[in-house]
Amino acid sequence: MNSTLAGSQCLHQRTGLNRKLLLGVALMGFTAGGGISADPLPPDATYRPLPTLPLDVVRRNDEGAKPAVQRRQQNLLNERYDLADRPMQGVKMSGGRKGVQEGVRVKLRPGSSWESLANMTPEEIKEQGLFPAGFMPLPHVKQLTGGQVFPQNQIDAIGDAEDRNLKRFDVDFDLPDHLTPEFPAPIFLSNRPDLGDISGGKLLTIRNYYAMTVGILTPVQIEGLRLLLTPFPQEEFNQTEDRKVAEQSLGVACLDCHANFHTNAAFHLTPDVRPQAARFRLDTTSLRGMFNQQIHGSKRSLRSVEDFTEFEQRTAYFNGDHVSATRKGVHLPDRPNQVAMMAQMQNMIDFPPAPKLLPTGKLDPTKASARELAGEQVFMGKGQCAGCHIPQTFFLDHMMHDLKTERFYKMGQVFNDQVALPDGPIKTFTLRGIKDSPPYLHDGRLMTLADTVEFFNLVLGLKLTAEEKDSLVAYMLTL
Amino acid sequence: MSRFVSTFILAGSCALLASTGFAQEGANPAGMSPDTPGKEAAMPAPEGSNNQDKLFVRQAALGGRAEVELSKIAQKKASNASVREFADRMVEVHSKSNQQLLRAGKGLNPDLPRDLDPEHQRVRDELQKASGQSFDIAYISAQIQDHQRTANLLQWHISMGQNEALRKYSMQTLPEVMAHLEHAKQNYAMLTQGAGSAR
Repeated sequence: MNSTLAGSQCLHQRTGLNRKLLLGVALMGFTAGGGISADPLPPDATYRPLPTLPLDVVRRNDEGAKPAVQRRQQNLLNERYDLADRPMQGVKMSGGRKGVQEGVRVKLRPGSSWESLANMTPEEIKEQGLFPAGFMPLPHVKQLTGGQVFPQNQIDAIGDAEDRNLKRFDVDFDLPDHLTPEFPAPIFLSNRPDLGDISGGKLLTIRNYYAMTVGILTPVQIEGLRLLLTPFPQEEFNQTEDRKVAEQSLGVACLDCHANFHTNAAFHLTPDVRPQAARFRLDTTSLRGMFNQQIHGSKRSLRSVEDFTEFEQRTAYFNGDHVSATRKGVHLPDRPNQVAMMAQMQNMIDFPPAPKLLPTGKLDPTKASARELAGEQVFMGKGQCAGCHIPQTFFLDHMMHDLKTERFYKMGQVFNDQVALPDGPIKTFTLRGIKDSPPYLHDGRLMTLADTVEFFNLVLGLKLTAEEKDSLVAYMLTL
Repeated sequence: MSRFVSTFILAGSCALLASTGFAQEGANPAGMSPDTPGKEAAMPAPEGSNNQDKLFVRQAALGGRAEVELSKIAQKKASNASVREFADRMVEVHSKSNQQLLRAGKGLNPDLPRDLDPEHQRVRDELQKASGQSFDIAYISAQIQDHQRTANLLQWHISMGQNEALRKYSMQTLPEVMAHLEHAKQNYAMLTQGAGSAR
């Protein structure tokens, strides 16, 4: 009774306000939907413009600008990060051939320390401009052109194996090799866990996949693998004059970025944002553990790997532009046959073994060290990591979350032609095998696991001690 | 109230630019016209300009002028102190910004009509009729839309423009415009007790 009365009073009080509100809303609708309105933005704010210059002129221009483009990006990286090669003692990535980099690499602003930042509010950090630049969105090496950029190891390997050129004439890869994943990455199969790494230290290509997999995979999986290794026209690698590779190109294959079904740290821009300066960088995600992943694409939350596989072919790989893709030679794989086989192949890719983890995703106390177990406690408790990275469900929650990092910096600042904007909700990525896949976060803005700990310590306001931070890193190395 | 005042101060301060000389590295050849001025074919001169620069100057000048004129009405008619403060700030900042724009875009001769564009004329008519809190809400609603549009216009120009001075103008202006948009949204929430308002 009481609550009903309170409700009706409340309603009564609001009526006057609502009338005023309606007027305001009506005006909003009127100005937005009126027949004659201010000119909208021109089409090139959304659509990729057709080139107006011959390729040789574009190429000369791009090559002329390239040294300055690379220098500018190196300056930004050096301002933001300590890029030195300092591998941890006694830790290697899962293939056993590459070290895992240690320590916090994001640089502090002058006059701050990690402890002082942890004791400030987001508003104070924003007002004083103390949010470390390495915690802000990372620009593409050439933001306004964007597109896929491959690391040199991938360019060399595909050049040797397939005589296919993945080198762009306008930009080079921007991160040093020691801050990228092991290459070629080991391959673990969920249908043959007994075998261990089946890569033999080699990169899967269209020239060698059959001999490497016959007798291990099913015919359906092998056909899926063939398609995943077949190049198709892409925005920067195609046969038209609108490309960034010297000769006419057959295109790129899915596994050119997801090398050996993992990642080689090739990067791109998100397809889901316009205009160009507002697009965030995309660090290639690993395909390991695809069988347990329910949502796909950092922003789009596509509900099956089939949807993702089919659709990325539709838009010439991650540009959100079917118009441009169609002109370059679009690949439309047949959904019930080709797409299904590609998806079934991807779903066979397992995580690397984690011998210290129990079937529940918890650490085995008989195998884990005291420090690793302490890290697990922080992970499950004070660190709040397990809120999203749930151990039992492969460190996923199948959700997208908004970390609201823009609480800490002024929006709209421009770094190397990228506008720093809120990321909005981004899907949770798994932490299984996480030591194998630097750099971290959806755009690769964090170089080491220690960086991720400092990032979340600040963004979630955790106030972790130095010991707790170290134990978290030790714990993540066991995953 | 002090929260709003501090936002004003924040909004007024200039963004730090990470680097200079961006036009030559940044200009996207895809958006470059064949007659782009430059020392060599297709090497854009920093002082050169493209069609996008010209269109930008026109659109930004139109928007900026409407901003000042509508906010001058609000300076007289707004009943809420925070909305009046917002209007004061808009008149001051956008008057200055409009002059900077015309200086940076000198020689591009934007073909501006004498009066406001039809859409803003209609907003002006509505504002002149409204009063009290409905005026405040109508003014802030229009401000939200205009700042959304301006933020997008600036981001587009940063993406597609060529002229170095104009792109620098856009980069310096964008953080301010986005802070104004945040502030306008806060004001709207306060006036309407809507999403994001303190309860």
